[in-house]
Amino acid sequence: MSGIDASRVGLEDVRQAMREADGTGREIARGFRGHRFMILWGVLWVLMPLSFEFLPQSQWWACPALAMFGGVASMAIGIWQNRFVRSRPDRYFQAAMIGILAYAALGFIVLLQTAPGGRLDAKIAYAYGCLSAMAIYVLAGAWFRYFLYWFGLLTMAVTAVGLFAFRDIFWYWMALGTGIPLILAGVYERYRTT
Amino acid sequence: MSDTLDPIIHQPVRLRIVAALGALEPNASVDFNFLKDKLKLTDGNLGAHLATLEEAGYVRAERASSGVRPKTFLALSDKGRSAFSSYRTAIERLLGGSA
Repeated sequence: MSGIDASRVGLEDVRQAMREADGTGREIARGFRGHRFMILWGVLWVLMPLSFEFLPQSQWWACPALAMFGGVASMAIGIWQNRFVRSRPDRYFQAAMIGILAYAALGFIVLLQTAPGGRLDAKIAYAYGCLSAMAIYVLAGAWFRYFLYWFGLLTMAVTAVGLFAFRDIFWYWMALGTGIPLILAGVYERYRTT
Repeated sequence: MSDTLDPIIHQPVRLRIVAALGALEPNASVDFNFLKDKLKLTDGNLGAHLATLEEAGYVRAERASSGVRPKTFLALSDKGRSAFSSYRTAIERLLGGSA
């Protein structure tokens, strides 16, 4: 293919056009990363454990209700974002995620068998749910974004430390140790330039 | 010896289109109207330049039905990414690596 002889080109005009074009592309890409989901779930990872801390035991349903709200809101965000920028689903990632979800669901059923009278300790149940969710972050990180991989592993470690070493302040520990970092990770994801 | 620049990409509007699409993930595509608004172009202007890019095999257009109105999603093809990468390399060479 014949090209344009660059010696006749206004290089400054080209430089300016490249900068503007890069800026537009980066703006589009930044606007549709996973940051909305991360900030949403970061807020919920603060509210869910604190609901156990501050609400009476009879209102234990608040945590699963918040999780359901998060699921519905995530679907709404996904549908809204899909109107502007959409991604082809990675079938292998989807298959791996289904595997993790199936393992988590069946694992929870097995875990229930160990609970006296079928009533699982709330902190154990919450920690198990968080570990399952963080496993998906690890998977997503291995597939798409390296920092999510380490973020998932780190928050799994935070959860384990909280359950075994700081059980008395577990709800505060989880709100600060997993929810706040997830919000910050979402903000980082939104504004990172790499 | 002077560097040559791909004439398909080396046009102000097409450069912006290719750069905008090039910033997305390889498996991502953007809605035509959304891209038009971001680049501040008219339907005709964007459509004409996209036709050139599609004919060159640089852009892939996927038509999808979404509710009442059909939508078109645009993505840079592998050929387009390669061509844009070559274009940027040529520009960086011309500008001494400061682009």
